[in-house]
Amino acid sequence: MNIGFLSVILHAHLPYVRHPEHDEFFEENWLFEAITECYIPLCNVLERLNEDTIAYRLTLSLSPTLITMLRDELLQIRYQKHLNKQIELAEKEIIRTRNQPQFQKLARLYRRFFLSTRNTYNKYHGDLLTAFKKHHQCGRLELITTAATHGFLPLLNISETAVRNQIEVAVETFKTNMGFSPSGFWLPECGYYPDLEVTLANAGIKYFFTDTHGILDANEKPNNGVHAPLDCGNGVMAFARDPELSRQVWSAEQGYPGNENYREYYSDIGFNPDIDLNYLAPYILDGKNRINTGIKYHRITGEGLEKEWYDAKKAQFKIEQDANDFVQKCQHQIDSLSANMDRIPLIVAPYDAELFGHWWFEGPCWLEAILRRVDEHKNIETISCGDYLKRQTSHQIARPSSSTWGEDGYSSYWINEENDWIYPFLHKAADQMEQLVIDFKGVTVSAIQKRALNQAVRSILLAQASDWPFIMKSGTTVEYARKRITDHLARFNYLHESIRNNTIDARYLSALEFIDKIFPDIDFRNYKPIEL
Amino acid sequence: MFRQITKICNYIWFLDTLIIKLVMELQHSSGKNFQTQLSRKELLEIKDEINKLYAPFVVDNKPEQNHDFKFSAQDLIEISQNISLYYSPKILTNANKLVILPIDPHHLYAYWELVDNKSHSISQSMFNNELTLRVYSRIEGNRDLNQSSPLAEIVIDKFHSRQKIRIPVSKKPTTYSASIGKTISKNAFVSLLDSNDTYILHGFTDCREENKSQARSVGSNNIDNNPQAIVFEDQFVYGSKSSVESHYPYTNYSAKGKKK
Repeated sequence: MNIGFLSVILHAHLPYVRHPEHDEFFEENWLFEAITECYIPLCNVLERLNEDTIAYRLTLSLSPTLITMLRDELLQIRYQKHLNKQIELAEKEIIRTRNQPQFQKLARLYRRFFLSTRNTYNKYHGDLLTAFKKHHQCGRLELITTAATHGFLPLLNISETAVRNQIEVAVETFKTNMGFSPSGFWLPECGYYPDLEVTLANAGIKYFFTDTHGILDANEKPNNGVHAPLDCGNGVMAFARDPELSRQVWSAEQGYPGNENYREYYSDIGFNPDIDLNYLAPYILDGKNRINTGIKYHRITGEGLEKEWYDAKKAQFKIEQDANDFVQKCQHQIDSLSANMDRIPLIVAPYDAELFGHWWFEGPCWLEAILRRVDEHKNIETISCGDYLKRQTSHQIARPSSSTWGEDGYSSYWINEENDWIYPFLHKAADQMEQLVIDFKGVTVSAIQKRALNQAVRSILLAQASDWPFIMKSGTTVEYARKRITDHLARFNYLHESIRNNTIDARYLSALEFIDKIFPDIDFRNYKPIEL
Repeated sequence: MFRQITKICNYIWFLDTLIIKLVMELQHSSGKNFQTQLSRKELLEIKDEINKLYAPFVVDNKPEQNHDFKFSAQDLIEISQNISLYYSPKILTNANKLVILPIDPHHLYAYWELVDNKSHSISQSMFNNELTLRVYSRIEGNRDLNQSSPLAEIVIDKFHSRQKIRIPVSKKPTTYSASIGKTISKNAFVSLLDSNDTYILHGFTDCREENKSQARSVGSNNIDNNPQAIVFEDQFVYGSKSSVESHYPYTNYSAKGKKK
């Protein structure tokens, strides 16, 4: 058996969804569900590994929007309320299912799960970033970031300033919240285009990730395929996703999460027609619209079969099997790669963090299991890409190709008949913002002008999020995505006009600052062409 | 912040004292009796004016919190709705604009804005369907814009201002650009509006089955084989389904559900 490195990267991102103008807002549940099902279970995994002195290395990419939301007081209070309701529902479920022992057992499991979640949340005083920082300081967790609002950079690229602003604001936000600069950068949707590495280098970034074909289609044939990074020519390194191990988790057909013994995401009691709407009313949307409650009693079972109740023991057994399989496949790859490589092979396995726990309920436990197995397995070493670069200092120089990890490997998911209308508006706003900053160069601005200019940059950033065109294409909450993008553009237009005409309304400006309360340290003067 | 304000106050007090001292000095040194020319009130006015114009100020990098406004949820909703109602995005520019964006190795996306420009008669030409969008490509290393090869040509429909354009495959790093103009004759094209450049570096890995098949299908139109080829293809149908392997479609766990 040969020696090899495994780098697991979890990319945690949610769009900025915070609506202080409403007492409750359905889309805020995206964050609440992710906290309960993904981020807190992940904290617990890291805690257990730490207690057992497991020598693991893991990379976590935290988007600036997620960082902001996790630190937001309003959302913290609302999350606690949401979690308390889940505990209440689980308790009611224990009573409702008293004649169905299998389901009652699961209701008890959910009650324990939610209570444990609350304990962890309270332990960190509602600030999960503290937990991640703690594991970073222990030297086990590498923390990196992504673009400020997850803007899809290949389609913002007609304005270099827009791209640079996404990257620089991200790095600053990360630094302010985490206390250090990130060395790695997760390109939103792995969207890379040639020359992006220049902007990344200027922001102090040392490495980023592309999809497999980003490296395989580089302008020079990669000597080690996707199992060693490429130096883009300016010292910034590009790591590529390993297709085989990625497929093991991502693929709904061949991947682990689709196994019949794992929990079925779509079988939520919120949608169970046998459960009275009045009973569910306090836990669903406006008391009448059925939504996910987080309590699901069934396993995937199999296509076309009636769903069977979830058996946690069987799922646990399957987790162990899948973790073994993953490590074996990893070793097999390393063995076959080693013969043809001039260095130790590196397998890069990046995943969306929310897959673990939210969509794949058992995902965090599976992750824990592979990290424990790799620790026992002396031929495979988990490594972060930052550490890899410290140990391996010579690299092939080549320029990756344009690529994303989207549907066809390029940009078509983010520009198509459903969402292409947004780009003229986004580009126009970016141009107008740049012109404003040029016009205000060297001019002393009043406090209110400065606030308005900063808020205009925030509005542009929020409009640029890749989530909105993504949702429009996927056809999920399309109206919300359309509204968000048009609202942010309207707010930008309003601010732009009032700055130009010197008619800034302090009340309106304060309201916008209150609603879009993100990036408090932003400085509009940085939104300028690089030559200035 | 309090320390900064205190500092500024101290500075202003110091400035006041300095001005008064200076005036007194002048009175003594010139031997003139300023008392008759400058009253105490005038001295104060001068002092105030200098303070107003020249007092230093500290630029605070933190956004100032405005505590004067208290907003109810209804206030916030109304302000948000008002802004959305009156400032919703509209394309009303005073400039002609043509932008191209890369979609994938086979497609570019172009959008344009044309405003009335009498000197170029753009709007009239537009109305008469006389305008053409021409796409060019330039292989990396060739910096001469005149050497750009026309790659695709599309008659602009006056009712549309955006277009997905199929382009022949290039295996070499290529820069694309576009122009809107009039085709005078077979070899003469008068450009009225030029686009940005977009650079595409791509290749053909085995995992992109669709790309492979399309690369074969364009065959003789491959720009690498025939740099002068012009593809007159203007109506690409959106939404053709792909069966290629990718990050999203193989999973139920992200694309279809992540944002619910």
